[in-house]
Amino acid sequence: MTQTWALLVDAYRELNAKKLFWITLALSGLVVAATACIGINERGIELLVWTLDAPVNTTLPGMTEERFYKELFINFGLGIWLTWIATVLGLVSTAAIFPDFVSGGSIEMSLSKPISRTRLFLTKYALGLLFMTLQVTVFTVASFLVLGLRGGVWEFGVFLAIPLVVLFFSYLFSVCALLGLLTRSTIASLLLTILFWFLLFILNAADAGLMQPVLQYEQEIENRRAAMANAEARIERLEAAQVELRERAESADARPSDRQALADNERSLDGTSKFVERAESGIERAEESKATWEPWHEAVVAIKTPLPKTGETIALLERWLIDAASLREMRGDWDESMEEFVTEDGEPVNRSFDPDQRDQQRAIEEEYRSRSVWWVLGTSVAFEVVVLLVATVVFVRRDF
Amino acid sequence: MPGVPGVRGVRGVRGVREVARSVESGACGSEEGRRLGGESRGAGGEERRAMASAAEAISVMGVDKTYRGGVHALRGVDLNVHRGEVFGLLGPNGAGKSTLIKVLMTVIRASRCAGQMLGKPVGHKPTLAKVGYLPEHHSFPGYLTGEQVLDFYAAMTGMKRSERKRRITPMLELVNMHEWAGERVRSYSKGMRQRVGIAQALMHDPELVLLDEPTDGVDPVGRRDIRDVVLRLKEEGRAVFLNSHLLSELEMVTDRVAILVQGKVAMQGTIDELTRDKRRYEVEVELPEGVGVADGVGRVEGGALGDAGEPLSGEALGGLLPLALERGELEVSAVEERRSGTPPTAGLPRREGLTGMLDSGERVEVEGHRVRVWTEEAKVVEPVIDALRAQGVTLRSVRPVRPSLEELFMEAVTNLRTGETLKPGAAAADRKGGRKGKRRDEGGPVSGAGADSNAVEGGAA
Repeated sequence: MTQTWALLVDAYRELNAKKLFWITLALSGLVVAATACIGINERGIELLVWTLDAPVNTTLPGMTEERFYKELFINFGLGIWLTWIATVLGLVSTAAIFPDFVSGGSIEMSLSKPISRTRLFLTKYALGLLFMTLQVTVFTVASFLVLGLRGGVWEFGVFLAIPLVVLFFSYLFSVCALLGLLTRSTIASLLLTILFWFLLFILNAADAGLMQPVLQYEQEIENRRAAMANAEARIERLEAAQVELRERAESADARPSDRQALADNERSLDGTSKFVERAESGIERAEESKATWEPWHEAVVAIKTPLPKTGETIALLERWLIDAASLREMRGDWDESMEEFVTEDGEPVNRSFDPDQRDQQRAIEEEYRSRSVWWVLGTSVAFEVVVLLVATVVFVRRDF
Repeated sequence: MPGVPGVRGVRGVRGVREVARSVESGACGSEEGRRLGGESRGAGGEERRAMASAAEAISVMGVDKTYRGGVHALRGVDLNVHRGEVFGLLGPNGAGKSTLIKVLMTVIRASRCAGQMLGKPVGHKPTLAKVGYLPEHHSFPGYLTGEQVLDFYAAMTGMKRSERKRRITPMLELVNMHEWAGERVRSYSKGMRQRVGIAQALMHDPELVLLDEPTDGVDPVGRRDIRDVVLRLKEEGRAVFLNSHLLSELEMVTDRVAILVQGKVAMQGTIDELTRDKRRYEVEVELPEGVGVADGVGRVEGGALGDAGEPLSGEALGGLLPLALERGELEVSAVEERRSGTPPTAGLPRREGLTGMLDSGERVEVEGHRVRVWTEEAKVVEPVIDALRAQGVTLRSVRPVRPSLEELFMEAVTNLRTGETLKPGAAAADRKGGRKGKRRDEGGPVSGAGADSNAVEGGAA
């Protein structure tokens, strides 16, 4: 305990000496203060006492002050500040921990003490994470207060950001620690870690990019199937009517209008049959296209699986903070029936089967949300554990 | 200089049985060592060793270290440091001195090692709480003050806070750094860092202190202070293991020394033991006019016999040995040219000169204007002096010579075959593969042959 406490005090002194800790903390405070200055009213965005006539989001259905702040926290506070800027600052502040620790003349002092190398390494690692935890905690508590005081909602869910962001940071920090041990250089380990992060970002982008056409074709197929089912039902109706109409047209007291009706019905039947044929071939084409994209997407997902899920870990907060139902409500009606492809009296609507932008966005989001928390966190933590294991073995076995 | 606080007498010697158990349990702390420890030795031998090592602060056998990349830094080092003594480890740069200390302090894992430190197998981590260590080229975090350095590293040994608070000031006073206690280490000079480093090594009241080049970068006053500290520690019954290449300093404080050459202990013992057969009397003479010289026997080294480089021979010796011979008091049994022969005393640097033997059996050597008689007895020298005086040879001085540590050291690091001093860190003879210069303080084994090993004569030499 004495040793752990000593290491903790030393880590604090080191951070304190570097000043970066305080600079980062001050920046966090500034960002939250700036957020508190922004508000919305019926006219648009409010900045302290001034109002900008820019009714951007306020016009969206379901947009309230509460949601505005939640969105602000998720999109800016979490999505930009914590995951990008604070994480980079965190990495810059902590990247030196291991290279400094194993530098010649200093490591002998630590290794010659009655403390096991494994414990020494893992304690140092935990202290690096503690630094980030402090940063995120300060930011989150401040954000919580802004949400409560300005948005009028006391959302305890935002505190989930603390473990999630620290977890997200720890994926990168474990890599940084291993690289710091191997290269013994702060700059090298920092740059390589950021490169690794960038690769993860590319993979995520590829995942989203390839998911989009796959889902698009899937939806198209679904739409066409629905329309085809409707059309087939209509054919049945038309065929039944055809028998009746023919009887009436062929009867002795048949009026010209009856014959006309029969002819109309026949045309409709013909047209609908053709529609079904077109739909069938359309489904075939869409299936072919989907088949060309799908393997690529699956490959990317396979590569992603053993790697840490940086983006998805952060997205978990949004998943938990804004439930699917209210997301639907906010982003428009999600469950429009397929009826819109056929008019009320069964007439097929002449429109594209391509899902519109909003639908695609919705589908991608739902696809992400369908990935289980276990998959997101489990595989990421597994990756981190493996990296830490390798780093510990390297540290324990090395001659200094 | 104030005394070391928390003075303890010589620690009680550990129970033999306990040591026996610990030695049996595995001799070396390094991972391989644990497996290898105790191998190839019978239980009886174990016990005997354990009994012998109960009084030892450090007792290691066959310490071997090959670095990744193939540098064979330690080649079976056997070493004993008694409790309560000051032990000096000498050796040229790259001999493996720091590697050995680092193995003891678990900074480096030995390839093979058997032995114990303070009664526990080498590498037993809890034992390190009783060991103080000052690494060579240490660097303390610049953001810590002198006081904080002591506090932090003592805490790392598991020392309680109250105890630390109590000891910091006396420790800083011990090394005369109390006035700088609140200043950051980064503002310290090299000597000041060294002083703080020593205080740090003593903070937790260790039974054994390992100091790797403690006087490195320290001014003469500081060196004297450090020497005083070392002697104080010895008085308190602590064992001190000094690693230094400042031989005169070691000579002043050490009880025993070991000379490490190319990863092997070339000699080990008290300075007295090591120099016993090298003590002698030296008679310095001036030769009379007209002493002739002839070719073929040797070469004048300069001084009274003639100009340096001139041939030296029987006639030149007319003034010396042959004269003594005539009087029947000195019998030369062998006068030989030793340009390529073996030296009269093993390991002395090869010099040109002549040797003889006195009736009483002592060896006598003539070199330049010096006559050396290998004896500690003044009486033995008397007939030689008489003979020289009778020939009108003027004596400049007669004095007993006890070889210095430097002479021992030079002997250990001189290649007997070529007479060259081993170059530090020059050998890549036994490197298996390309090494990427990972370590800067251990330049690898020196080239050529060691005092007791002529085995490694690689292409590098």
